[in-house]
Amino acid sequence: MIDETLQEQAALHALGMLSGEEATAFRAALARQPELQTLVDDLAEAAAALTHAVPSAKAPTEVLPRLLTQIRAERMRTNTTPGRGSAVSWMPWALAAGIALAASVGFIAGARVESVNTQVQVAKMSAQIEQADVERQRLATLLSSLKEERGSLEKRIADLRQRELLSQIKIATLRVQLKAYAKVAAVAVWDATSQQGVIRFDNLPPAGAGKDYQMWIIEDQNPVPVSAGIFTAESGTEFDARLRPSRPIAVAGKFAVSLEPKNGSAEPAGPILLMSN
Amino acid sequence: MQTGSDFAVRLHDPIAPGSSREAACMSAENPERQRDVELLARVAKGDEQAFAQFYRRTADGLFGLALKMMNDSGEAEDVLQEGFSYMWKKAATYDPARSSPFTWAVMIVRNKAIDRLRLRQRQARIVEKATTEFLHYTDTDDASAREPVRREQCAEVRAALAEIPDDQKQVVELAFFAGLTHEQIAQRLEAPLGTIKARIRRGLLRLRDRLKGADA
Repeated sequence: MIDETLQEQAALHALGMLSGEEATAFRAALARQPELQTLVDDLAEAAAALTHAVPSAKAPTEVLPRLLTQIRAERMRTNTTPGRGSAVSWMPWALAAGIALAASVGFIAGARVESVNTQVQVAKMSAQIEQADVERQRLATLLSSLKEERGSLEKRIADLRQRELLSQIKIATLRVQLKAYAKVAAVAVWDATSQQGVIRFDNLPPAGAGKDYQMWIIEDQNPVPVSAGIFTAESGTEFDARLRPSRPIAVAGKFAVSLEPKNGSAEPAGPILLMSN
Repeated sequence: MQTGSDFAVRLHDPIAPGSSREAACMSAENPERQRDVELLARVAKGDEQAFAQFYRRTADGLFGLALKMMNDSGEAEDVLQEGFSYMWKKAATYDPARSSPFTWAVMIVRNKAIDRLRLRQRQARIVEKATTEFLHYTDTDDASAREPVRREQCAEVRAALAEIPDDQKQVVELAFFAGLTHEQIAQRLEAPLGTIKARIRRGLLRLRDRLKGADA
């Protein structure tokens, strides 16, 4: 039977939240009680399952090639994989050992001429191995400098792209209109070209039963607010709400958020909570 | 406080081969999980192809987690890369008797993200992050882009979460996704530390029970 205190520690341990001393004491308890380890593993599994509740996102295509390049570069540097030898790494040694064995057999047989020839061959092959090693080092250095160069070029391209995109983007901070929402921070980002945008919120409490938050965009030349979507905040943490206006926006002037009855309103009916200048 | 991805590895202290837990775990595995276990075993032996396959099977879900935690696509990408690089080096420490490969990978990526989160001041950079992230948004429908297995898992977890009281769900999410300590959560929610710990315990136990119920 696992008591509540240990269950509590098991939950914190599964989330990596136990402090140094607590963690040490808990690990000692783990060693004594195998069923406690089972509980920790179960809770870690449950916590990790939360990942399934998050929308998956297409991983950037360049990460896998970069990882494989990194793995190969490390292999070249160490000539070993983590905790295991590779065929490439032991080949020169095996070759040298084989040749040495052949040379010693020739000596035992008394075939002096062959022995001399073999020794010459050994010397030649040793020189070739050394040369190959120098070449390997040169290529590793070249690869490293090319990677650096590529990295700096990629960064430059990204900077240029970002600068170009930013010129079409409007960014506005939304100010709190009601004291009850004083802790809320919100920033709107709107791309006029793609007609897409997002408002990032921090510390926005849940909308409450029967209510929805509704976002509005007010155009520069048209005072009638355009609905840009409804949502309910899940928790006090940071999150993004996508702006999806009900019709094309000519020039976005202001952004606002109001609290509306469930499923929103055709025009703002509830209190305006946040608005940009 | 435990930090760093070693925590994920510590979850996998060795279990005696052939033990009842190992046997139970193996018999309970589904084919997808078994496939990942096999891939990780090959990765542990230095098989790059297996590593690439494991990456393709898990990267999107893990990138979603990194994005959720970092709120910045560039940093999420770095977290993903660091996480997989770590997995390559530590694949031999993975123990299928202890967890699924996905859980192992999630814990590694999460801990990489927590390491980063603790290095920066999030609030001060809200404008910059919002802008950067927005530039990387795509307008695809997430649900339609996901494979059926993941959609099913997503539905199961969301259904399980829906059955957990909000106060418990909130602290579990703050702990898991924001990487906050129980002290930080208590401060943020202005609640006693003991209350927060109890909510985390109850929330995680409920989540486990609901998910096990869904499996049955």
